[in-house]
Amino acid sequence: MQRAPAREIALVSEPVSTDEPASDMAAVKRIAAGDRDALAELYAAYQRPLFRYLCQLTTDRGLAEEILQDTLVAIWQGAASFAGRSAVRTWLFAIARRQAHNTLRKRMLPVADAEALADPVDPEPLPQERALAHAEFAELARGIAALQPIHREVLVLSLVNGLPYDEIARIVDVPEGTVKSRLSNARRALRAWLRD
Amino acid sequence: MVQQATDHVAESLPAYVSGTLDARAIEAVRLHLAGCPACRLALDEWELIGAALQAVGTATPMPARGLLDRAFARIDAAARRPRWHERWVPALLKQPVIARSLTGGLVAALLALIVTFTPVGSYAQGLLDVFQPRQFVIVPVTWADLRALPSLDQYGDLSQVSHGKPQHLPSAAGAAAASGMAVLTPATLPPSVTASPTYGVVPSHSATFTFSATKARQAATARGKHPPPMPASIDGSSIQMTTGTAVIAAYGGDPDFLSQAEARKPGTLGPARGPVGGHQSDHAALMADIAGAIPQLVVAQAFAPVATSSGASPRDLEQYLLSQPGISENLANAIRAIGDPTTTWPIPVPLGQVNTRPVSVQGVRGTLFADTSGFVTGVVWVKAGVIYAVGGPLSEGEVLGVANSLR
Repeated sequence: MQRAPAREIALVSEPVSTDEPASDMAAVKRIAAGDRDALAELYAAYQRPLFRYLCQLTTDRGLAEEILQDTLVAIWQGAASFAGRSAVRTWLFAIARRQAHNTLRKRMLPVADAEALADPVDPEPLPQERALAHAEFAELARGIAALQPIHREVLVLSLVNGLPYDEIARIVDVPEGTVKSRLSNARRALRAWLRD
Repeated sequence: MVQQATDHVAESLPAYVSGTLDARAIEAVRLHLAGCPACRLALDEWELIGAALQAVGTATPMPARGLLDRAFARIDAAARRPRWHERWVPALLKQPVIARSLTGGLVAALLALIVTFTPVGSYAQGLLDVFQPRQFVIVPVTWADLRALPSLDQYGDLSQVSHGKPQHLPSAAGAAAASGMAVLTPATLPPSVTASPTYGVVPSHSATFTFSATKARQAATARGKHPPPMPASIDGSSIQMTTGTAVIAAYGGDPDFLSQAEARKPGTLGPARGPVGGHQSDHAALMADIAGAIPQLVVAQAFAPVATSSGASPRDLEQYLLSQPGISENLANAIRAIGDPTTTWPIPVPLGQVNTRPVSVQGVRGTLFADTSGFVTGVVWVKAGVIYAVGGPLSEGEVLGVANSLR
């Protein structure tokens, strides 16, 4: 196998290793057997990425914590039925997403759903101007906060949590092509927001 | 392969920035970027977006301390809430068939879950011309499936005959004498099983169901449905089902629980959709009783039931059943997959609440059940015309150990 070339471009994300840590699978098996320490270990490893993700699905931090708690309970209850068809990480994010949807729906809050998309998908025009390049960082952050949850979600999963498209597709439960078009549309929406 | 200048790599750029592309894709992106100012600009933007997101992410504090402890507190609270089997038993008790035929004894706790008195089971058994189970098949069902099914009384009339009353006996020998069965006992017991067994003998029970096209039509009209009419070959035909004598050995638990629960207040034994209003204390008391009543081990054996049909063929019945409203595609497929309905006993298993897998037990194929909370495990198999079941709050290994040690 060839060695991956050294990357010239500084990576801005915290890439999670694409190799599934064997300890994750072992932890899920231990959780299935009722081992509380295993849930604590998995939580220690994933609390930050999961919480960041949830904080992008809802701006209410208290609600995000509540959903994270729901996620832990769901992990505990579902560990026995985890068949290992996906990576543990994918499974965890998918559970968090499902819990978030359940809670947000119950409270009639906007969820990251295709139905929530306001604008139809246009073909991506080629970038002609440095619309984003001139943006202040803080302004960009506000723009991100103003995005539709469905757009912000894929941005966070890709660029903050460093997940590959196929994993994001499984978490969000859409084809990989949709993940790509959502990312592209997220950038377009961000440009449009900054121009206005 | 060299990328064409027009073949933009825009959609790979977020993955490129996040470092999730493989070596080959990274190479292709770099080659393209070298000759494409538009994509280089897009890359700049993605890096900016990534950096801004990182800044937002870094600014996100860690979740509150104690969140894990609160999750564990909820997990503990959930464990104290009635589990599915605790909800099923009262729900099943409410069924007149169960309530009348299984009065007394802790028998329902295990057998009622396995014996298919649920609507699905009744229907599936209704498919049979001459039915004598030699094997089991798992039919995964959802609560929605069960709720959507109309009840049998909308299709005809049910009459029942019980052959005697259940008895409690202190010994295997007594149970054998009362039942006419060779009562098997385990040679080895798990360490957690400390109580001595008490035996219950449940006599056989017959039920005859007679199809009525008129009744089916009236019930459908009342519900505003228009299912296909009952074929003439089915109208007026009847199915008789006889369950065999059963012997149940319960180690520990409260053998009088069922009769006490019935005496307490018939009608409050509903499925636990959450305690409501005045039923709350009754419900809590009932659940506490159930928890204390669950035995350490249950070993059950019963002559396999027999069903006969007076006219309609299994094929007629299957087709008619599948044409009825409320039969989901999932359920229809499961019913079609039953195979030979004259020898196969379908066991409805709630999706996501019970895990099942085939196991070898006593030299034959059996089915192992475990509720997903890991609390109760059971195994069921058929050998020489007798159905056996072993279960309890035990591990898989312990349950199979007991099952294989039955002599």
